[in-house]
Amino acid sequence: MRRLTLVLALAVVTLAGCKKSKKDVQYVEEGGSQLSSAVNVADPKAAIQLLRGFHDVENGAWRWTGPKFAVALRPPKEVPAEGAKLFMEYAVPDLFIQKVPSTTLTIFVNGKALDSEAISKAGSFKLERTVSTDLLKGDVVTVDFALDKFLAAGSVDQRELGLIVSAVGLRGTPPPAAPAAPAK
Amino acid sequence: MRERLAGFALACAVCLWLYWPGLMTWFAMDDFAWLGLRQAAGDAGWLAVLFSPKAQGTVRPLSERLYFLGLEGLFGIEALPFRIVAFATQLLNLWLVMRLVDRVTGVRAAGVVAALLWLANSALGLAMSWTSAYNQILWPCFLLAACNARWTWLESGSRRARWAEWAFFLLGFGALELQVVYPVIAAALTLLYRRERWRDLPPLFAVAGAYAVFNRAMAPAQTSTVYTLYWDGSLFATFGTYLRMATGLWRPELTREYAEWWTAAEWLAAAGVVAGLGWMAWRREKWGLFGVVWFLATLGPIVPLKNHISDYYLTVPAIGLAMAMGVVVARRPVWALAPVVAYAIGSGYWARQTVNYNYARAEQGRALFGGVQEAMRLHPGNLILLTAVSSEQYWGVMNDNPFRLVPGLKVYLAPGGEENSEKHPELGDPGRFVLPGPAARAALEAGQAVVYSPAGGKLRNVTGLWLGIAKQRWGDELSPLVDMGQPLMAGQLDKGWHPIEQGFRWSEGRASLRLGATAEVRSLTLDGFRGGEAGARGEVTIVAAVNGVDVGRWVMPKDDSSLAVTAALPEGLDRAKPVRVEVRITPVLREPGPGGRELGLAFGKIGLR
Repeated sequence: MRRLTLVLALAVVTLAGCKKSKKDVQYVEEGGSQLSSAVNVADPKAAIQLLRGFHDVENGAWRWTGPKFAVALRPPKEVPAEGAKLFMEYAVPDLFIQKVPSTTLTIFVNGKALDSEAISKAGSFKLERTVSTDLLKGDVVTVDFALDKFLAAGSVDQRELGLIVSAVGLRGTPPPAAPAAPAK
Repeated sequence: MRERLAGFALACAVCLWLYWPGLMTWFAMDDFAWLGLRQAAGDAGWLAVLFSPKAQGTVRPLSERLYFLGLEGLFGIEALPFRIVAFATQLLNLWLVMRLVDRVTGVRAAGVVAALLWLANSALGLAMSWTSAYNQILWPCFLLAACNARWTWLESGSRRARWAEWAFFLLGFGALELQVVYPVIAAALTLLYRRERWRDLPPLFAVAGAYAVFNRAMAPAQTSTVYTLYWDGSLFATFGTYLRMATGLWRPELTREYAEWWTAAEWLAAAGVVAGLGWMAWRREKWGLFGVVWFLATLGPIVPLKNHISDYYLTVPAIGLAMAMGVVVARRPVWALAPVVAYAIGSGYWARQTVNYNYARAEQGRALFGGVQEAMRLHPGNLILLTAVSSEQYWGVMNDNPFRLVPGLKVYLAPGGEENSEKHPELGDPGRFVLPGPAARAALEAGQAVVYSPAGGKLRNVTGLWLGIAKQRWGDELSPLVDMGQPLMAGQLDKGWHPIEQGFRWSEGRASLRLGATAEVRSLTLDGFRGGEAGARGEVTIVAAVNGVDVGRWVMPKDDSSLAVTAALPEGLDRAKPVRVEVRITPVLREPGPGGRELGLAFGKIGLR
């Protein structure tokens, strides 16, 4: 009898708990928001701009990519005549270089190749390329990256691993220069 | 009696306190495959659903088939009843552990200590928070019940107890095939305490042996190395790994901060077990040996699986060590204090971490499943494309396709989504859920699809943003893969195709289509079957041509109903232009009656990979 009472009490309490947790199912209908010109890959709202080849967020700051990865970006509003700057902040860990001494990153903007990037050192880097204005027409620019060598699935974990990327974007006007320090 | 009930109440309270989130945990991974059993029963029949061997030859009608069929039938896709049954079974297990230890050893409080030590083992974390692991809870229930019945028989000679033991022994096969080890445990109990009653043991061994032979005969050949049995030197390494894991403080994949402190706690707990067993041996306490036999017997069948080491497999072996140490701790509590505290806090911590992880993962799944159902309500009849699905969400939810459980729900991964996930070819291919880019664009432009993102925890409608991306990215491109059951891809089909049937199309004797060739594709793949003709045509020959050049010729034997073949693409293929693929099938079938259709082969997918 006591056991029966215990089980019934358990059921009542857990049913109450279940009712509460169902409120966590959320869905948001959104219509008017826009793509960003630059994405912090850890931002959940930017996740839809990561079209392929980005693994889950790590340490709330960055993601490993696969050997091929792509992002969708909005062209900057103001683009100088020479074009916009495509940038990517990325890191290459020692572990990667130990197993893959050198690799080449090819870059395509809307299907057109830009200068590739040779990678042979560990460290943090910022890639920058100029993107001509004729590639920036329309509402969306897609940028594809591909590494010719990478860490195969199973060599570190079950993912194919490329670079550690924290941000990718297009910049129209250069960032304003820091104001000069006042003379003492 | 009052003391015993108080001990049981304490064990129940600790169980609920430690594993509480497991009671609330929703479904994950394999659960969704089992939840589809009711649908399968309609097609295959109940007997086949209950007893047909699954992967690795497992037949677990009680702990998997009936458990899911029964509770889904009564409550639908509600996890709580499953969890209540699992917890209730575990509470019963605690009672059975207590009774067995108390009755055999007669040591006051040893039973409840054993139950608590077992509960604290982190190996229980998965079983207490994943519905598909119910077999690890139900199986010890039968093992312990059979042992209790055997002890009654050994003590009293009761025939009812003997029948009860046989009933629990046989029912245990319905929970887990590892029940074959029960005779070893029964033999240990008998030979250690009532040696003269050994004569009833051979029938137990005979039944277990017959079941083992039957089970191995039923098991399909292993194509994956994960479940391959290795009878080599790796046995010692695997056994050593499990010995270390049995402390509950370590697993091979675990990342532990302050690793040196954890290692010290491991040493302390392990030293406690060794000292305890040594002390029992010195005092000629048979119970210590029984605990060791239990541990080795229930762990033994797992040791050859060197590529599938999991703490989950220690759920039942841990009972053996807990039962032995229960007596040591009850008799020498002061000596045992330090190792027990190190073990209980450390192992209990990892048990709770496991439960918390499984709870959080299942919540992601529940939010995704619930959100998609709500999206279907908002956009009836539309395809739902999911973008930005994390690897965890894919493998925790999508891989076992829970959406098939909701009639009318058509869910795909957005193009490229398969490349965000870890690779587990032995579990499945995320690519099978991807709607190719051109088809996604066509569906979005026609207003037949919506795009949702689960990134950030809540499902967001991002259709507007995605339409712009799809238009830009897949302009007028052709898909490299055509799903014949997908109406949105009909634009790539040329001559020789009949209307869509259930996920496939019949070709005529000659049929063609156009595919887009990306820089990466290397081969042509064809998936098809010959339908329900039962080999009436005899051998069927299939020839595939790419841009007019034959690339493959295959012969389907009379008794073979399906085709899954690959052929290399010709050298120098012009990838800038649409690739024309033609298939030719001989002989063809002709439907009876005037105007009967010419049927070549039923194709599911044709594509370039």
